[in-house]
Amino acid sequence: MGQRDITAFEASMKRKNGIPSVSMCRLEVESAAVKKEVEPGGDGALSSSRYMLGRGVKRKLSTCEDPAQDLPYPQQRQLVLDLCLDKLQSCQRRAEPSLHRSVLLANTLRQIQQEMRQEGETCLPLAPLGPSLPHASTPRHFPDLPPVPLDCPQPLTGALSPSFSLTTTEDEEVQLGGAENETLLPSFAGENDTRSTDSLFGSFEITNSTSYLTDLALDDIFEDIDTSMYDSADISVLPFPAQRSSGVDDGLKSLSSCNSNSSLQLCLSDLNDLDHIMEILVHS
Amino acid sequence: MDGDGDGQSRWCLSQVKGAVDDDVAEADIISAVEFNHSGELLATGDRGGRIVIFQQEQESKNLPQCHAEYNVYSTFQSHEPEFDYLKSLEIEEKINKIRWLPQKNAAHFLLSTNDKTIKLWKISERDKRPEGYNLKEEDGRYRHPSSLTTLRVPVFQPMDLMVEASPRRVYANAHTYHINSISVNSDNETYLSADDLRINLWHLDFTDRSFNIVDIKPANMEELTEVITASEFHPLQCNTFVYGSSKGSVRLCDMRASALCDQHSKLFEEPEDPSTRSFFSEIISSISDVKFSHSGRYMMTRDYLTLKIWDLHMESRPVEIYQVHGYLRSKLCSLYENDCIFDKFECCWRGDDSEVMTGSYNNFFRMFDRDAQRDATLEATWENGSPGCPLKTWRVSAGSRRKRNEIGVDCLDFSRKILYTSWHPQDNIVALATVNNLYIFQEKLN
Repeated sequence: MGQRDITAFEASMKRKNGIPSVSMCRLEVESAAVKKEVEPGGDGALSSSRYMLGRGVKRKLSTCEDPAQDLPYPQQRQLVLDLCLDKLQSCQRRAEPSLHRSVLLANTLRQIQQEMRQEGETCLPLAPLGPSLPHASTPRHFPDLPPVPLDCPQPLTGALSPSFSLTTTEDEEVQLGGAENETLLPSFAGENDTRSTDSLFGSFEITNSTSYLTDLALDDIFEDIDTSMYDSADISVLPFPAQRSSGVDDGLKSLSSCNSNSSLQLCLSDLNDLDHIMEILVHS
Repeated sequence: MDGDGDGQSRWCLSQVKGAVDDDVAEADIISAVEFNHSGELLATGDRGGRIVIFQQEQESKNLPQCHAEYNVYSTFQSHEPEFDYLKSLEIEEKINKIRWLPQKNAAHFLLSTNDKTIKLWKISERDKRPEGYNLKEEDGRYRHPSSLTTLRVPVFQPMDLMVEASPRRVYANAHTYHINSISVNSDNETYLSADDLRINLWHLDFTDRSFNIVDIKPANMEELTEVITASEFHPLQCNTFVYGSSKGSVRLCDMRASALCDQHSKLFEEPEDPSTRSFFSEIISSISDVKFSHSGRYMMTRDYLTLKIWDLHMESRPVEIYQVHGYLRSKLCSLYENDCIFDKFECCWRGDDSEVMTGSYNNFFRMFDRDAQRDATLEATWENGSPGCPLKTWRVSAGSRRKRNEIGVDCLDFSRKILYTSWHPQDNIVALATVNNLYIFQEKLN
């Protein structure tokens, strides 16, 4: 007992960074309240609360209730909404994407959005006119500045589909100030939701492409590459390897649409300079 | 329900497998635990794609109060990591489920699956080998025929036991989404595999075709709101299976009704209690495991906070509800934040269906006696416990109190969780996996 009974396999599996080891998954309940007051903008605090090493020391709370439960309902809802968006965004970056998790998060998000939208409809006439809470200092005091979304960390515009960044930068009533006054009333058009979930759920399929490259002889891939295009009008089609789906799909599509010999020849018949070729490829 | 008052349970720690230090490699984390149909073999799968099978030793006469121990029988690499080139994603080699086939001959067969591929493994013993060849030396070198002067008949001689595991079938390329369940049919010829959106029916002998029997993928993925989380065949009726969903409902389907069982025969769903509604109601209602009773009369479902026993004849509500760790209801926001709310716990029945068991956090596991309507909270730990010594039961209280065998909910360690459990089909032996180790507990016999 206690000794390893089986020979340990020295399995050299490369693990992608980003999976938090289970020993880091501790209840750091205080961070929920702390985070809201300290860093309204960045996701640094959120990440640290989740991935904080808590080895060896168990934190004891003075209260038995979840501090988040003590917040008034709109703040609770806001907290959950923030967490939801953050998790959905990080879903895309995880090494083990889970459709089950994403669906649950999306449903929670949708539920909160609907609730907020219903509430937003009832008080919509008031919202653009100024702060509804007396002691909030809002950006509308400075009408030249666009409203700054409270929880729009930069990565939102990156990995996740554009509509999620849209949800936090468009049509928001944001009130900066004390933590108690933070509300967010995103009002999305319906199509933003659908586009976002489509691109979110569309990326979960396992394709049968594990043998994709093994079926091809590597030489076949490269035999089309022909350096003669750089010094003569003889054009050949450059194959492009599969790329990450986020962000590059548009580029790939437009490349493939003009990737026929004739159009390239027409464009490049007078060009024998690599820089010119790259310029055209990038702009197309 | 209150725990029993004397603080002692009938259970005692039998064995612990695995390293006992805190640093465990990701690949060693156990992800599947399953006894075979006789209970003689216990299989575990890990995140590294390996399967380790333990075998129960013959009953030893000098320890009548304990069942025999389990020792390593076979270890093999079941699945390898793969790479999906089109999506630029790793396909994990982690073993999601292991299911044994009923034994038909001397060899043992099991199905193991990762996210994408199911494999049928044959585990066979070899304890004899032929010796005395005419044309081969004992070391394998060939003899020249002209050097032979006499002939002899090769005979089988005993050798050291060798256990071989060989892949007999590979069932691949049938699932677009991650496989979460496999279940062998009572006809011993077919089995089902379920991913997030589809369930396929296979014949064990054929790897090049499978039948899709459930498909809940919407035409527009943007309309997707529900996924399949668990599925199992009925233990006696080969035409019946169930699948649980992320919305907390379980559907029972009859394959005789139609080829595609999108229309359920029964829908088991408990109406939501409006007084407990929260942002997390749907998430905590998601079914993480569904298991038929051995009798086939009942079905058990596990969601985040409860175990529910359903009578298959009554769809409107469960006949029994057991609170696994109700004290977490006030902590849901934190558990959502640290992702623990998405943990998928398994559950299992005792051989005679009189008790059920499931895991919890802090390396606790919960036993529910259905007949006596009593429950117990036990801890899987190798500290302060010796084999044969009965486990003490725990109580979880509010706040951060810590007394003898009582722990406050704020002191619970949520990184130590028991997700995978299995109960011996005949005896009272349970196997469960903590993050680091495999624990085997036995009921005291006397």
